[in-house]
Amino acid sequence: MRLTDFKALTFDCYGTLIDWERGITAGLAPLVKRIDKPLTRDEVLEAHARHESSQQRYTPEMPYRDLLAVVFKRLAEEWNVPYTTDEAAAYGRSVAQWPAFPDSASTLQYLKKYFKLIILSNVDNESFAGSRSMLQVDFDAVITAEDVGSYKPSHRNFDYMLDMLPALGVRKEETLHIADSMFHDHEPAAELGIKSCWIYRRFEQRGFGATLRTVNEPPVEFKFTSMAQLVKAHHEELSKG
Amino acid sequence: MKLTDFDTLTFDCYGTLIDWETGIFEGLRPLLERVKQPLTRDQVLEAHARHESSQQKYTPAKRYQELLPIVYKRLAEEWQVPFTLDDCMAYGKSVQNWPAFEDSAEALHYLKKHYKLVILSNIDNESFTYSNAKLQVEFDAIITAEDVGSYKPSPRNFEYMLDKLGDRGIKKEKILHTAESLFHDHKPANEFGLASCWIYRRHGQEGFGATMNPGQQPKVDFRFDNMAGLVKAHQEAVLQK
Repeated sequence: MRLTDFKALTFDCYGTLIDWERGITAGLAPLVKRIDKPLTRDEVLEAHARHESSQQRYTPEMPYRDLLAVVFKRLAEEWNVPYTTDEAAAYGRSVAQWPAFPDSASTLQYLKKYFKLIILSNVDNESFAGSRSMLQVDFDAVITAEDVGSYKPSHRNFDYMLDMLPALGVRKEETLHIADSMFHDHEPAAELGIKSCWIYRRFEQRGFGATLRTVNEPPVEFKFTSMAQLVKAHHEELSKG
Repeated sequence: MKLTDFDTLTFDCYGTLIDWETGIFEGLRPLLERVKQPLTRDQVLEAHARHESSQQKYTPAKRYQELLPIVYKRLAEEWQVPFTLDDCMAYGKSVQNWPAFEDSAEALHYLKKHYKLVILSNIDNESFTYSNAKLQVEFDAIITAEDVGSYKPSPRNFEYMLDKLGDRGIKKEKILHTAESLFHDHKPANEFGLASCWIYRRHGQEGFGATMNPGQQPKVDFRFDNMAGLVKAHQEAVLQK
């Protein structure tokens, strides 16, 4: 199987194109400073993953910026630290400023010449407008949790994306799903027979960071440690002809 | 069966009393001006119907003025034209400006003297207040998708209506459901055994416009080309009594 077999790339955004672990860590820093016993960065991210995924199951229709405010509250409670509702709301709004990975914009601009680019992200539309300006590319479609009324790994989000493919003129077999998260992306993609490409951003780190652990490692068709590596592989396929 | 057999008319609003095809087409004009390939009015309306009905299935509890912005985004993506979040939101708000059919206010004013008038509409409450001002009549009940948490043709909307009207002593046999859409109204009305009256606003035009193809043609008990036709038939039925 070759990258050039595909016509459309569907992307996870946060964790894959946007460095959400940096965004989350920076957004929670005021809270973490108030804790008596110091927590490691990974301990913070894993607690966030736990509360976020639980909250997404309970309130699938809540926009992400509002949902994050609830996660902020749960973390403050777990860590026994004081917080205000304004701080929680500000954390929710910080998503729009989470930074992109350094290779995201240039690689997307390269890929745009060869593929339709589709976002399939656990975000709300207003927050994504902030991320969109950092990624500096025109996506052919942006499908958010707000549009679908649920969060990945729900199959509904993937079904919605598959339902939309005819309007974009591509078939499921021509679509490659690209993501960092095993839990949110590769497991449901494998269950639905969608081919996938793992951008293993955490390859030099232990554990799963801001995403939940999966019981089994789902199969992926391609694996790279960065978007730059994906572009390099595509470029090599083209030069070999 | 005679029109005078009934004491309550339950109305669809958009397509039947409000000229939503004109409203939709006007609201999408900024987008259509940017489309490279020319689209006919019916092609535009049919694409709208496809995305709207899919979106209503995925997010049944989303208010119509928030659901339409997503439909706008899906159309922009399908037609490959640039758009902003503000454009999307403006389209959602445009429902307020959708015009009434010329005969609606006068016909409702006449019918109010002979029937209880009920609205059963795929709308949110705020948007409907603007349409109500154009229709210039006081309805005896207004049941919206926002009230029910789902959109027609879901059976839930008809169940809710029959439940609430039953509480007020209105018998199902005395209800005539009056609507343009075979897909949203007449098909589910058949399934509930409601008598129904087709206001065939699209007579003389091909296809189904802004509503989906219902598949098999549902049965209707009365059929008129417009609301004025219904009023005329009622006047004749009263004279014959």
